Amino acid sequence: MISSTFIQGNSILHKADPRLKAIILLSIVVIFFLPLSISAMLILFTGLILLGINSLGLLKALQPVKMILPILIFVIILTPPFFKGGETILIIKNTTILTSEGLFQTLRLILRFTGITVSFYIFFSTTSISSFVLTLEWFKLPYKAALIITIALRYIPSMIIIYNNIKDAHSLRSADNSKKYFWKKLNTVFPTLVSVLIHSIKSIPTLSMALELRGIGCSTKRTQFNLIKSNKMILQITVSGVILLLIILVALYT
Amino acid sequence: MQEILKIENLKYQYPSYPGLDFPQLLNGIDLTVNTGEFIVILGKPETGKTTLLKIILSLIPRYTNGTLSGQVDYRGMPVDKYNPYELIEKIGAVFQDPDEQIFTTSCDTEIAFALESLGIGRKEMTHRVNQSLEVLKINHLWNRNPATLSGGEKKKLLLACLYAANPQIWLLDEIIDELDPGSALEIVQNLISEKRTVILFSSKMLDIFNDISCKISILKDGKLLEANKMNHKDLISLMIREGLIIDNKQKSVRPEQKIDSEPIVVIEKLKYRYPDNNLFNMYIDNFQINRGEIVSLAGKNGSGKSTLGKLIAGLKEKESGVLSVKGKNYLSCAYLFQNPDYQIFLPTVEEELSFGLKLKDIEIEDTIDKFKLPNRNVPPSLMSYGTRKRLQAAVYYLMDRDIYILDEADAGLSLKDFDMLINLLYNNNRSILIISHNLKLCARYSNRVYLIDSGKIVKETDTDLHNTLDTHFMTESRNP
Repeated sequence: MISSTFIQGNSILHKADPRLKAIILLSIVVIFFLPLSISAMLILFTGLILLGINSLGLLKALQPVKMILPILIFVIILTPPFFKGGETILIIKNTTILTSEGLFQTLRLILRFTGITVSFYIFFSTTSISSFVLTLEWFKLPYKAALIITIALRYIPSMIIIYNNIKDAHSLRSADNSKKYFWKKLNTVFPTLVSVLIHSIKSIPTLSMALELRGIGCSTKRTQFNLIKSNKMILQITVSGVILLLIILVALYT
Repeated sequence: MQEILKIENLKYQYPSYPGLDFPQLLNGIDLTVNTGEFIVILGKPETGKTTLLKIILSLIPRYTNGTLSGQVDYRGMPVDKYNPYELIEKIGAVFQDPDEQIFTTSCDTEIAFALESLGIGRKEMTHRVNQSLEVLKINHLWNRNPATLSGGEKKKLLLACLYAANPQIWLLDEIIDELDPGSALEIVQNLISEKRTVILFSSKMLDIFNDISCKISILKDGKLLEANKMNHKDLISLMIREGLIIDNKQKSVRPEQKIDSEPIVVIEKLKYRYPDNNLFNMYIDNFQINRGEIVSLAGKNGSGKSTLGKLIAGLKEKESGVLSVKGKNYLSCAYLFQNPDYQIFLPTVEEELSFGLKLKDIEIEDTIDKFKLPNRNVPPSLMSYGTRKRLQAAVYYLMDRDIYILDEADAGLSLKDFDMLINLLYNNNRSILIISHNLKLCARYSNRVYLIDSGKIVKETDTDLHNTLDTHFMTESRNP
């Protein structure tokens, strides 16, 4: 049962101020796009994985890597042939397949892509959607825009639940329901997606009605039920950790 | 008592589409509601109950094309002069499908949503949220994601939302269907004792309405008929004709069928646990369904009824124990989901019926006729909820499975229509598992009933069925 992107827990990241986590997330994304050395990227990536293991456990921390594995395989296959510089590492029938530059660029792309994915995964797994919306509002995002994001985020897990229900429902209608064969599984995806689409389109007017009936459109200034809880000690530890990490990175890079 | 809502000569007709003509749905509705009144509007599916609710809420014709005439006044002011968002403290509603109304990711935030719109201070808001959770006895769900709740729990959550917003009129669309009888009675009695003005719409005359003081009207042919203005005999006969109550003279509705000793489903020491919910552990020591049997699985909201049904159908993987279904699961079981839209995905009725099957024209026509479906070219998405449920059953009827699992299949259907489904599905030596908390329904159709509570079978009964079930359900509601 997938209930939400948020996974309940009691780790430092769960307790950390969501505003700070959002800033750190953006910083990490920026850092991954800097022309860092592979060792610096590896250190950052290892740090992220360790943080993920600490907050979510080993299996869940590695889940995003599993999710993007097919894309990573494409990167491994398609990137090296485009880089011919450096030492030749692999030649097949007079064609250079892999050079040291190709290997370097492939590793960099993999670490960048995986690092960013893991960062977002850890952020959304340790930050409840209501805290995330409050963070957006704190960053002065208009309420309606924040609401659209909440509804979208609320509907991602719901859509997964609906998708799974519909997939189950369809599987019971199919005479041959082998779960083993990839192509047969793929054949069932289209009708399932059509049903999910119909379901979603049909829910638009009802969702609008429900939102209006709960006061969306009122001119009264909205109040807030949830507030961001700040923990001074956790905040200080997190800030110190980030500063330390940045120092290490800068030292390694320079 | 003061007049709070007045409906005069209300008429409404939905726009027609090619191959699907809608008749005049509401044809001169008159209704006066006074403060503190509890009104029950009964009507078989597709008689316009939900449409009437949406007109009172000023959502129709705002969101739907169609022809509307007549007058609906809230305290002397036409409701169409209000925007729906201006009605929060005036008229509130719980829709039939709770998923259509939930949009946050925790129960307390869901309850607070309307209060935030009203600009209520945080202290007052927290007080109202806690109070609502307590009144509805769902305190333990305060931080749960509503998407993970059972159907009945979702309805309780939406009732808590209304409780917190405190509207003058409560419109409740088929809320009883998914609530266990103990909770339903408690909620209704609470509303009456607090003298709230309630209009409750229902497709069935439930026992609960006999136990409370309420005004009953029947929606038939677009008009409201007041029960207290009819003589008892005429009223009963009308309710039977409309499928709102069961005819007690008709002892058994099951067609005769030989019950075999051949087991179709055998469960022993079955364990199951949700990956993300450690609070719920299922353990089924012994459970069996034989060929030709109709067995019911009854239990309170969140007791694990649907989970067990899905395990039998092979939609969930057991943790340990024995679960054997004769043949391959997928070829033996038909599972009718509560929501028919999960199983309907093709553009026309004909394509739905013939999906994966080689059917002759005459078989399609025969099925359309048997299940009272509109013509073969009609898009299912334009059909009413009840008709979509009949289509869903028709699809499985053609597939001829060994066992049919009907998960709260009576919700949104009249008893007459449910009778029809059971009669059509129960033949050719098939077995049926009815998942429900409707006591009469279980007693009416089943050879045996299993009672489930907190993921465990607590009783298996085949004698004195009604008393056993009554005792079980009316004890204080416990949640897993």
